[in-house]
Amino acid sequence: MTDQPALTDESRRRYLKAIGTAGLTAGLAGCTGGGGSETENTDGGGGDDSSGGDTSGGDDSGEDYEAIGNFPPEGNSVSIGFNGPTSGALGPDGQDQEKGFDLAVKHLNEGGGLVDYWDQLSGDGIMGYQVEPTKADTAGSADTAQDNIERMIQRDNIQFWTGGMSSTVTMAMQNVAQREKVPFMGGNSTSAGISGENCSRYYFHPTFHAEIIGMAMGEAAPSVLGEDRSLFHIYMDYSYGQSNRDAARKYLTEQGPWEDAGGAAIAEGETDHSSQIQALEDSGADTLYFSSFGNFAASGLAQLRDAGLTDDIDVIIPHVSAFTLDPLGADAEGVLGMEPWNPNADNEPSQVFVESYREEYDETPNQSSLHTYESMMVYAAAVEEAGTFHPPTVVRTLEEFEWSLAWGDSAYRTCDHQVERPWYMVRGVGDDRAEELGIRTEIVETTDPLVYECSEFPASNCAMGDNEYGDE
Amino acid sequence: MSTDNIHKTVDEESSLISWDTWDGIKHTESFVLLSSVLFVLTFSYAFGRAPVVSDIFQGYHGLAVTILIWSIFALGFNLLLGQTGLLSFGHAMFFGTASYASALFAIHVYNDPLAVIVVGTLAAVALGAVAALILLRLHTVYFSIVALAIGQFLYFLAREPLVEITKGINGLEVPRSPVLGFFELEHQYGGLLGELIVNNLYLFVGVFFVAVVASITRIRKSPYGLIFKAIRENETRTAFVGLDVWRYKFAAFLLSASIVGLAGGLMAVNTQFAGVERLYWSVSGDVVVMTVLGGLGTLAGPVIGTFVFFYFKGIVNGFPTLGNYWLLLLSLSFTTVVWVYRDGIWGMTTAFTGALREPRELLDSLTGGDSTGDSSGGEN
Repeated sequence: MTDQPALTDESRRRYLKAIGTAGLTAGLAGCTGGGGSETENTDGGGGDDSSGGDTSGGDDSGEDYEAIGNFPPEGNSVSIGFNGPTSGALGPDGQDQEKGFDLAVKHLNEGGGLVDYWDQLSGDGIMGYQVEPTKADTAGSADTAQDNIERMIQRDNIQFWTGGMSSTVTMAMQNVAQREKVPFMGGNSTSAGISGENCSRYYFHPTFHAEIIGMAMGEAAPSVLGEDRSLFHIYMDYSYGQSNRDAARKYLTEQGPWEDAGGAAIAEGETDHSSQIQALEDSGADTLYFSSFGNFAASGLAQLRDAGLTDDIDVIIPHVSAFTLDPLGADAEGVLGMEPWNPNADNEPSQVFVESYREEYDETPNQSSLHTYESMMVYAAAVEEAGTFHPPTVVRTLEEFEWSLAWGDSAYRTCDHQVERPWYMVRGVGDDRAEELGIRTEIVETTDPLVYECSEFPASNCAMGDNEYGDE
Repeated sequence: MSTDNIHKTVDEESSLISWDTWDGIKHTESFVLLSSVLFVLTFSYAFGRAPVVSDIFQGYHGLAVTILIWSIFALGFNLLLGQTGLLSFGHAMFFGTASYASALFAIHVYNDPLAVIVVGTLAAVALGAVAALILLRLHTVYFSIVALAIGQFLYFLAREPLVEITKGINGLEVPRSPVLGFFELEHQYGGLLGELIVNNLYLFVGVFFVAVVASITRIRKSPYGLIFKAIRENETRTAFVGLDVWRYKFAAFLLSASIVGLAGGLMAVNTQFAGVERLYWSVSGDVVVMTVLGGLGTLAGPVIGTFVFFYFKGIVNGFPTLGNYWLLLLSLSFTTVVWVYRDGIWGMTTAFTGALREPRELLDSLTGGDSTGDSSGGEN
């Protein structure tokens, strides 16, 4: 729904109006340029640091910008939401996302982890505002997610939110973010439409999707498996499987060195893969692109193993995560796949994050935990840099933002808000090695930061210009 | 709440607990209408903004709109299950289909919320007519399961083969436009009206809610509705009386489908989104839970059930720590209530108030607790 959240509360509305008017007058009387406002805000931030009252905080952010969406935050705290699937089929990844979110809140408020590592952040909240978390479980449903986010926007007055796994939910939330003018960074959703036709000014996509997975595979897989390969596809016969199959075909066989050996579809709900396995055997392929995930992938792989194929054929699962690998267990050994991040990533911030995460939860983090964690860091840093929570200004800052934390050298593109960063080709490991690593995958190849051109599919479908900042 | 006492004229047990004048008033249709109007006017306020009450509920306006829409859904479902005794496990088909029809009409033909909802409702009725031809040949569990099968068939149809039209799992975005070209749904009110109804969207949904409550009351109190009940109680006997049972079941089915379709259309307008999950079987399951939890065959029951369901889903869900167990807590409450009171929460409430009316000293000690329970029910 699209009620202006600020307006649900009568008294608050008056308060905002008052601030808005005061701010305008002050702005006219004082300086005009953005430079002037930045210095002003730095002063204000300092005041907050020495525990300045709510009014000083509120005045600062209200002074240069008009109220929009949930801006400005009330009092001396800023509310930030987590809206992810902590129950249901996507629960394992949702719970990891929640842990990453909790840790990020803790570090932003009290210091620690990447907050200490990164100069951009102070460890005393964001711009002196303490971060007030609010959370909800989407259970993987778009309608539930919508109710949740309305609660956070209308009642909790969030300035930003993160979390999410299913592409359906993320897409529905992209529209909400755009309508309500509240910035949002997602989780593990991997549908290309998210940064394609459904792109949104207020959404930033922190991970890859089928197209980028295919691209990264095209770069990494031939150097790992050799150039002389013939590739067979077994894919789930709906958008997830189809788009992964198409991307792999494009980058591995059409533009890459491998040979296409055909494919076989798995119908929705089909669990017996014997006909597809037969087709795979008949094709004589030596590599299988298995576009499946979660329990489906686990049971499919078990069937391949029973058919005695996994010794001769290398299996690639496009996107591996806790959700896919945990049900696989030891069957995961030798399976190749792409990850947007791995705890053994070769950069210092990753190790800083892994250490502080282990300290907190006594377990090794995965990509899901880092997605929410780093998203929070990036948002906080963008706010610090912009000197305000004003959503259009923060969005403009993020569009130009470049940083280098656990994700590696990263940047959000203005044209579609897709992140450009390195990706990891990983191999599943057996139980002993998994124990050692703390995760079921080890890195076999790291790509350069890569993403397709803005003029190519799916970015070509994104009409970012139609999505307004809201303050034009 | 008082709305529901009405049906008790029809319910057998109700005669045991009647206060003459009060019962005389509360059983009139105009009283039901008035109560439902008052309910709509105060619900969002009490839930989301009223000083003390809303702090207890921790509600918010957006959820109030969702609850009203789902209440319409549950009322429509209850018309078939509670009134006519047909248990459908596939009512998501009407909800989802109407939602899609509304969204598609808004996107491709003409985007006026009123027209969009009419189209959604008609789509549900059309689907209902086809589904009824298949379903009404079947009885009991076969009826339920085939309804479920049709629902799932549509779910898969919308998800894969019709992906070009429905956008599959990605769903459709519905742009918002004013009703009849001037009535802006986004418009926010100030003053007292702003406190009570906040915006036109709520008013829009609220009008449909009242209309549905009024028409269902009409049906329940009419001889026509009595025949539905007769079919529920004993189909064979109803046929022996000389009534065409199939025809009445068909009518009940279509009525139910149209009300659920209305809810589906409203949902598309409210969320500005139509997705495949509204066709999914779990939606059919949710509405059964809501109806049974609140009180089957009553008027207030489905509304209360919907409220409780969404209270857990939307509010408890957000509690620290406890929030992760909202589904477990909901199922525990459901099991407990249905175990102790077969007639759900509404049955529980009437049992309490009934007990209060009995001049039994034994209950005196309980009076305080009971009356608060009753009054909080009233605010719902």
